[in-house]
Amino acid sequence: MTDRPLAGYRIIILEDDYYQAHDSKDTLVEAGAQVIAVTATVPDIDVHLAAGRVDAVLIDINLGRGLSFDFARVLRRNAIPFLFLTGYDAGMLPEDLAGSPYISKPADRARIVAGLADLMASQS
Amino acid sequence: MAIYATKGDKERMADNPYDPFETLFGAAFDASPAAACILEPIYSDDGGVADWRYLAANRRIGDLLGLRDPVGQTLRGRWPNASADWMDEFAEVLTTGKPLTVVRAASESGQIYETSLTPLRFGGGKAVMATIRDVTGEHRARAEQREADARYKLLFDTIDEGFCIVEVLFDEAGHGHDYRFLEANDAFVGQTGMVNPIGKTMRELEPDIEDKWAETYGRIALTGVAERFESESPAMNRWFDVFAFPIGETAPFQVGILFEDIAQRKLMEAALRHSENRLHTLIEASSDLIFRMNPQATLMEQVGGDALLGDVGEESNWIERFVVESDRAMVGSVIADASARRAPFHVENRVRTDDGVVRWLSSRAVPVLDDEGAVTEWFGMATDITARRNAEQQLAHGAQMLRVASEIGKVAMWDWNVETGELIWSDEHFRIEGYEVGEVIPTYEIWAERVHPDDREGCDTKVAQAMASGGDYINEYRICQRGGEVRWVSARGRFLYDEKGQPIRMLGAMIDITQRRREEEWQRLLVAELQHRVRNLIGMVRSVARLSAPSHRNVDDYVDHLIGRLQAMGRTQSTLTRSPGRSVDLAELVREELVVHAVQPEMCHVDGPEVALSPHAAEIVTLAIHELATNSVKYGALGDSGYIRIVWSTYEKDAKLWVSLRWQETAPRGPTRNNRKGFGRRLIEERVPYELEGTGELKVHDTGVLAQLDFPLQDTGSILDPRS
Repeated sequence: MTDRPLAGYRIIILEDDYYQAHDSKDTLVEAGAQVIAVTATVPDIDVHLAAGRVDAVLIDINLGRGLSFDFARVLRRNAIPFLFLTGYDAGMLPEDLAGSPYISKPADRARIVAGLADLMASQS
Repeated sequence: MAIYATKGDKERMADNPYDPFETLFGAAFDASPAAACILEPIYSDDGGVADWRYLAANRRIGDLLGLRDPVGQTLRGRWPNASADWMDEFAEVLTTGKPLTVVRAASESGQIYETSLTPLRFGGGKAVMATIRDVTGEHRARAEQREADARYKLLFDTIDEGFCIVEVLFDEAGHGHDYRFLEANDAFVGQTGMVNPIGKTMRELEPDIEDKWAETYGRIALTGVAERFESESPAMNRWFDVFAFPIGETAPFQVGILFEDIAQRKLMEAALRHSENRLHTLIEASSDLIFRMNPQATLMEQVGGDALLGDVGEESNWIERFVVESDRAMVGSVIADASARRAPFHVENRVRTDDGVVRWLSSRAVPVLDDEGAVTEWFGMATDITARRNAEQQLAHGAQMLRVASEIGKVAMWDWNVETGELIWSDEHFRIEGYEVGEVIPTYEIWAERVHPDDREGCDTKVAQAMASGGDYINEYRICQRGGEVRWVSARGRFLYDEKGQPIRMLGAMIDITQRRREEEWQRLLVAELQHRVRNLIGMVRSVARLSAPSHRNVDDYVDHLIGRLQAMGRTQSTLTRSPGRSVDLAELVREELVVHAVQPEMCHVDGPEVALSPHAAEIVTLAIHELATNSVKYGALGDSGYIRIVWSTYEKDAKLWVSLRWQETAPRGPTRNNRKGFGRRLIEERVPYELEGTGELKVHDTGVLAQLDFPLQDTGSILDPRS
C-alpha cells in the first residue's frame, strides 16, 4: 500500500452527520482521493455522472434506511461500487444487499481507506 | 220270512186268490210279532212292473199301518201318495233277488219305519215280502245321542285344556306300561306338541316318556279312583296340571285325562320367587336406606338397606331429628306438596346423622294408595350423595375457574373429534379467528382457511407430527382475519388416543400473541438502534475531539473545551432520554443552557413563540448555545457587564415552517477579534446547513457577537427516526 492508496479515485460520501462526514472527507483526501461530493441527503447520481466519473460511494446506512438502501440499489444498477459504513449490524441489510462490502462504526481511518482500496482493487 | 207253498196250496190259491190260506204257515205269518205283508208285481203291457198287489198282510201290520184286509188291493191303490216312493226299491228287489232294508219316515204320520224287503219265489211266480218295524223311538234316541256326542266333542274342542281318553296297556306284572290314545281334543296338540295321537301309544309318540305317567294311569284304570296332580315331564320339557278319571263300567277302565301345560306358569312362579328373593337381598344389601313413612310423611321407619342415618328402627320424626336446620323449610314444603298431590317426591338435602356427621341425601318416595285413593303409607329410599355433591361442587368450581381464567386470560380453546371431524371452539377461539361467536360451524378446513397462506403448510405438518408422535403440538402462526388483519397466535395442543393407539381427540389452547410479537420486533429494533446510536456517538465524539484539537495550544484548554462540548451533548441526550421520541421545547433548552453557564436573568432577554424542536435540531441548537455562551463568558458580553438577547420567531418558506433564532450580544467593550474557523463557527455556519438544511451565520461586530440560525422544523418523528 502506498501513502495515497486512493489517488485519482472520484468518491462520493453519503453521511448525514456533519462531523463524521468531515472526518471521512479528510481521511479520503489524505489518502489521495478526490471527494466529489459530501452530502447528508441522497444525491442524484445522474447529475454526478454527467459531471464525470464516480469510482465509489461511501454510504452511511441512515436517513431512513430505505433511502440509503434504495440508493445502494441505484448504484448497483449503475455498476458503481459502494461501501457501507454504519453503526448497525450486518444483519440489518436487506436480503438483496446482504453480502455488500461493509464496515462497522466506529472505524478508524485506516480501515475506511483499506475498505475502499479493496473495493477499487476488486473492480479493476 | 219265506213262505213255502205246496203244489196244492198254489192251486187253491189260484182258485181263490183272496182267501187267506188256512195253513200252518199262514197262521204263523199272521201271528208274527213283526208287521209283514207280501205283494206280487202287476206287469204292464210292455213287461214292466206297473203296480204291486197285496197277497197277504198279517195282523201286526194292520195295527201298525192301519192296513186292514189289503189283500187284492194294489200298492198304488192303497197308498196313492207314498207308493211312488217305493216302486224303485220293490223293482230292485224283484230284479236282483236280494233283500233290501230301507229306513224312511212316513210321509203322512212322520213315523220312522224300518222296512225290509225280501224277495219270495213260489211256484213260477215272484213276490216281495215287506216286514215293517217302527223305529221312530230308536231313531230319536240315536239322534239325541249323536247330538250330545257332538256337543261334548265341541265342548272338548273349545276348552283350552287338553283332553284325551286313553286305554292303559299293562305289562306282564300288571303295571301300567304304556297307554293308547282313543280320543283327543283340538287343544291336545297345543298342550302336548304331539300331532295325530289317535290310535298311537304314548311311547310311540315320545319314546323317552317317564314311567310315572303310565303307572299313574294304570293305577286309575285298575282302582277306578280319579286323581289330580301337577307333574313335570322333562322328556316333553313341560309341566302339567292333570285331572285323570276312570271311564267305563268295570276295571280296567279307560282313563279320561284333562290336563294343562303349566310350564309358563311354573316359570313365572319361579321367576317371581327368584325376583322376590333378589329384591329382598337387594333391600338388605342396598347401600341406600329403604324406608316407609306414615301417610303424612312425617314419621319414618327404616325397613332395609344401609343405616345411613343411624338407628331408625322405630317411627321417628325424621325432619326434626335429621334434616339440618337450614334445609328443613325446603324439605317440609316438598313433602307438603307431594302429600297434597299424592304424588312421588324427590328431595336432596343435608342431614346430620346420629353420629353428628353431615351428609347429603337424595330421597325418593312414592305413596301407597288404598282403593279410595287415600295414602296409606309412603315407601322410598335415600341415597348418600355426599361424594357426588362434593364432586359436583368441585367440578362446577373447576369449570368456573376454567371459564373465568380463559376469559380473563383470553385463552381460546378447541376440542377436535378426529373421528367425526367435529370441532368445538370456545368463544375466544371464534373471536381470535375473527368470527362472531357461533357464526360458523368450526371444522378443520374452516380453521385452515384462516391460517396465513405462508404458515399453512407448517401448521398442517405440525398437526400431523403431533398426531403421529403423541407429543405436544406447539405452534406459532399467523391468522388472517376477514378484514385482512393479521394476528399472531401461540397454540399448544395434545392428541388423545384410544386403546388401539388411534387418535380420537385433540384438545388445545391458543392465545393471541400479536402484541408480544410486536413488542419483540420493537425490542429487536430498539437494540439495533441503540447499538447504532452508541457507535455513532463514539464516532461523533472522536470527530469532535479531533475538531477541537487545532484551536488550543495547551492541553488544559483543550480538555476544558472538550469536556464542555461533551457535557452539552450529554445534556441533549438526557433531555431526549427523559422524553424519548418527543420534541424538545426551544425556550426550555435555551434557559437550561444559560443556567449551566451561570448567566444571570438580568443579563439576558429570552423571548420567542413556543417551538418544538426535533431531537436532532435540539442537539445542534444546544451545542450552538453552549459554544456561544462559552465564548461570551470568555471573550464577550457575559464576561463583562454586557447584555444578551436571545429571540426567535417562526415563518413559512417553501411550504415548511422555519424557525429563526438570533443571539445578539451587547458588550460595553469591543469583543476580542476571533475570526478563526473555530468549533462554534463551524457548527453554526457548516453543520446547520449540512444537517438541518438551513443557514447559519456568526458575526463579530464592535458591539458584540451576532449569531443567527435559520432552519426548517422537521416532524418530531419517533425514537426510531434515523437522526432522532
